[in-house]
Amino acid sequence: MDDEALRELHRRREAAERMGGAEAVAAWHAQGRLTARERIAAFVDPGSFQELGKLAGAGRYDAQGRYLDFTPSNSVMGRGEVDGRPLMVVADDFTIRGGSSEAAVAEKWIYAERMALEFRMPLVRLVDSAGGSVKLLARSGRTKLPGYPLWPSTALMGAVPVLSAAFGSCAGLGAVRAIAAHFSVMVRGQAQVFAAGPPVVKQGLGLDVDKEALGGADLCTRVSGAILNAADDERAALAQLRRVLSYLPGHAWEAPPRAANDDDPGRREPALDTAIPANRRRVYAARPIAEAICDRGSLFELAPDFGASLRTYLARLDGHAVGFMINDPAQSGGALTRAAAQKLERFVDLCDSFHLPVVHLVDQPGVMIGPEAERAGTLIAAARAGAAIEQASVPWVSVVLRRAYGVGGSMLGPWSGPHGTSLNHRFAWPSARWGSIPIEGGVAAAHKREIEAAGDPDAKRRELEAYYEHLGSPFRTAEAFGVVDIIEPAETRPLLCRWVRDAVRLTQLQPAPKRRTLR
Amino acid sequence: MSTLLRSPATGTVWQFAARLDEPLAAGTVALYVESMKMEIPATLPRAGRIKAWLVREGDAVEEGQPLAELG
Repeated sequence: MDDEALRELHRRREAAERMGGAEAVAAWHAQGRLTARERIAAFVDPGSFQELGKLAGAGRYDAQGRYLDFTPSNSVMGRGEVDGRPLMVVADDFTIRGGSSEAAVAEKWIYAERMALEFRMPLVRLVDSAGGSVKLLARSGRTKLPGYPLWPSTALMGAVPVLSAAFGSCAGLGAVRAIAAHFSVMVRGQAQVFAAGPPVVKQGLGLDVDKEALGGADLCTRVSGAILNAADDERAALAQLRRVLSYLPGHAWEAPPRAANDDDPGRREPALDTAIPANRRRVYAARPIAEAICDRGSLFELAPDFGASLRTYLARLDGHAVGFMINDPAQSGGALTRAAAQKLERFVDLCDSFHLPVVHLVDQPGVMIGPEAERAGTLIAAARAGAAIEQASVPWVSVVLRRAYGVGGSMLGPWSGPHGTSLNHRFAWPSARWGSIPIEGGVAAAHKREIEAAGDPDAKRRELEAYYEHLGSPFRTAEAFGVVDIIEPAETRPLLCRWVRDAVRLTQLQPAPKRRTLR
Repeated sequence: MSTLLRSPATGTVWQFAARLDEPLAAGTVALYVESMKMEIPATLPRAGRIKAWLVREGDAVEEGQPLAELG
């Protein structure tokens, strides 16, 4: 072999390792940030990264055409492993030309995504990109209609898990790469995600707004829901990505892996028998109920700050990964708000796409009411969430803990599912009450004249409410088999751990991509 | 620096549950907002005192509306 050629290969590789150069990297570290290569190293199993496309970039040559120097592409990508399972990872390098997407040699990051699709491996994007740069026009000498024809962004969402972390200001395409994922996380105080940053907003709208207010973690994870989770630092964000991958299959053609479990599937939890206050106006904490039922330490909450009247967890029952939802009455009374409905739709699509059986613990007063909720489009969001549930073919079980009222209360699980065979498998705790309308208020409305005509209207109303209260007993519903069974709260875990065995047998028999992707 | 306690829900201020200027632990219920026929507690995000109420019992409040000034 020509020694000179090998030496040039090594020099080019070394140039790629230097990224934006010692000075740019030092300045980057001074901000407390990891480089693209350090992020990948911190994310994948040690020694597992096989880089691809390391030589892509822009070379400089002398007058005789001999190699002088090389500026690498600002996208680092390749194959790696997490917990021994393969995936594709692609990281933006902001030390080179601001991580701008048009300086990235687009073929390279798109190749990573196409490879994930072809080889059915999860795709992980470590995003730090300011979007397009007008400077590219000077280089190419022309403009193009926007878009990347070979980028399989939507197809990927139905085929393999797509996860993203945002580490800096991500605008335009960078923002879309962060958002269009099954799971997304951003570093609080360091990352912003928006269509366009403050200078563009100033020019277009004349508004002065700082980047945190425009697209910081508070905005994205609490208000818009564009990004699901926030992390306090970069390593915490990478740890969240690894954790989420542990619940998911490598692709949509297989069921999720089962984890070792040393928590007794038959464990009864007597504390659950008193978890629901007798006074129905009183709230209780939802998370301890989820913790008592699932395998110890197995809960990972998705979108904890968005639509918080519904809590969505990746969790495990006897080692099997499940999607676990529970209403949180301490947040908006547990009502189905616009945000909670959007969160529900997205979560159900995720569970259905990757064969996570769904457990739904219900205390649902109904769709959120009031002028603010109507303006926000709560009803259309609720209708979409209901459609997502009905389109789900993954096994599903619901347990009504307290309330199930109205349209929101009808959305416990699929009525017949896309194949017409789904069981709406419903259980309830003795504290449950349900109906088209709650008794309080419902009595006052339906018996208005009778109450007004009584000598003591308050006493009459209470008498009528007591009468309806007896009719509202869940045992009467169970007599008519309107619910499969009323169970002791303490025995919820044993029941669900037995159920999940059957559910997983089903998901293992039928692992195939769903026709719709997460939208 | 003072911070604001914000309403956990849209509804009406049902009942104050804590007193002004007393040291309170994180998680203490400051007041209840009645919403969707429930008493939703507004709790202190961290230990501190309630310096001033910004609402009265019976007031209609929106989710996120400041209820009290914390110090």
